[in-house]
Amino acid sequence: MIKAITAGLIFLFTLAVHQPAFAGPAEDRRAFVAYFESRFPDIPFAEYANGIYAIDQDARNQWIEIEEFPPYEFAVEQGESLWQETFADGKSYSDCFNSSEADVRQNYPRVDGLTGEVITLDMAINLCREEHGQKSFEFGGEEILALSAFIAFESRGNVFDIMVDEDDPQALAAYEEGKRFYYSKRGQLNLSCADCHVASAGQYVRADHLSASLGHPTHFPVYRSKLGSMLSLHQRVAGCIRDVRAKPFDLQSTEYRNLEYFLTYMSNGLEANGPGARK
Amino acid sequence: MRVNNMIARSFFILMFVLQPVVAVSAEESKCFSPQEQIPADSPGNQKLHFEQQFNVAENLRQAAASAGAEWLKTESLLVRAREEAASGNWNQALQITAKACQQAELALQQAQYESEAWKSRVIK
Repeated sequence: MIKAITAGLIFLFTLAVHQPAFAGPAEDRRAFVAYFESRFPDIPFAEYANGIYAIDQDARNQWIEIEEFPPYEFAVEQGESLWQETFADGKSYSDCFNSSEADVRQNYPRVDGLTGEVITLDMAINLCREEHGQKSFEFGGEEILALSAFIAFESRGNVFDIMVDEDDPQALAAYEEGKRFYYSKRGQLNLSCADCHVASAGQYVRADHLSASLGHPTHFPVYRSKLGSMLSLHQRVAGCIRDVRAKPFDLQSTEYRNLEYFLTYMSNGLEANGPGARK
Repeated sequence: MRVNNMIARSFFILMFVLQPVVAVSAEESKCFSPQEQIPADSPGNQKLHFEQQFNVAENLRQAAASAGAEWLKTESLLVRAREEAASGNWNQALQITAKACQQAELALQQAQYESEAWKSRVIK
């Protein structure tokens, strides 16, 4: 009897613990890329870094015109000034990133070996500031967007190669959580990220085409014309969450960071091409 | 053997005792009908009735938030309900609370369903 109860409890506990869904990250990515290649056979893989402009020719034509006088240029200039800042202890951002600004964007997000947390570029900027006695920037604020825009601009052309170490349970758990978030329906409209950006990619939502998820994170931050300002990936995700009538999470919340980890891993092999310009 | 029998008997007795408790808890966490009207008696009773229903809705909203599944307008509906109640518009307050309560309940059901359903959507 005791054995039966114990076995029952172990079974229930096993059910309660999150189990990786089906395949490992590498297999997931192969299937993810193959899906879009099969769905849009005329779009070369590298084009997915351009988001909706890979799919919507009219929007692409407008974007090419916009890029003649890039609206994110002011942010990049402001970011360059911020990057050159010397902290009170004589250090600077390049000390934190152990590299030039041109070798940063494609390395984020990554999983911190000590805490097991996903560290995004915006988070790394603030961790750097805190480490050197500086006040953190507000996530989604002008300074952090400018700095990340500058870093993205300087890192253009570098290829994303995000690691998910399958022998690291923390990295794998963060990846799985991001994947779960991506495929879970939420909000009053009962929609998942995948409902719009996989199943309905390329189709109209009102007057706009829905972009493909492959390549989503490569061009952030972006200048959003309708806002007249820069926008981070997490702000864009929060906008989607609001659109399906769910309560958005905080910027740089664990949920969004894990999602970014999953999405960026899916986009491995694409070039960093931020900052972007979007309607 | 006797010990095993005792454990089994205790287990069934415990289940028998707990059954009504569980049933009452489930009943308490259920949302009421939006058609429900505030009893037209003393203001004290009206307030008490509203507070009971409001607490049910707020507890469900918090449970949905803990599951990461809260809907967009649930919290603001409860704020509006509280404002209506403060103005003495009890029926209006109750109807808004009912709407918020249903949203929270559905959000929880959605989270529960999605805890497994998402796996079937992963691209393979």
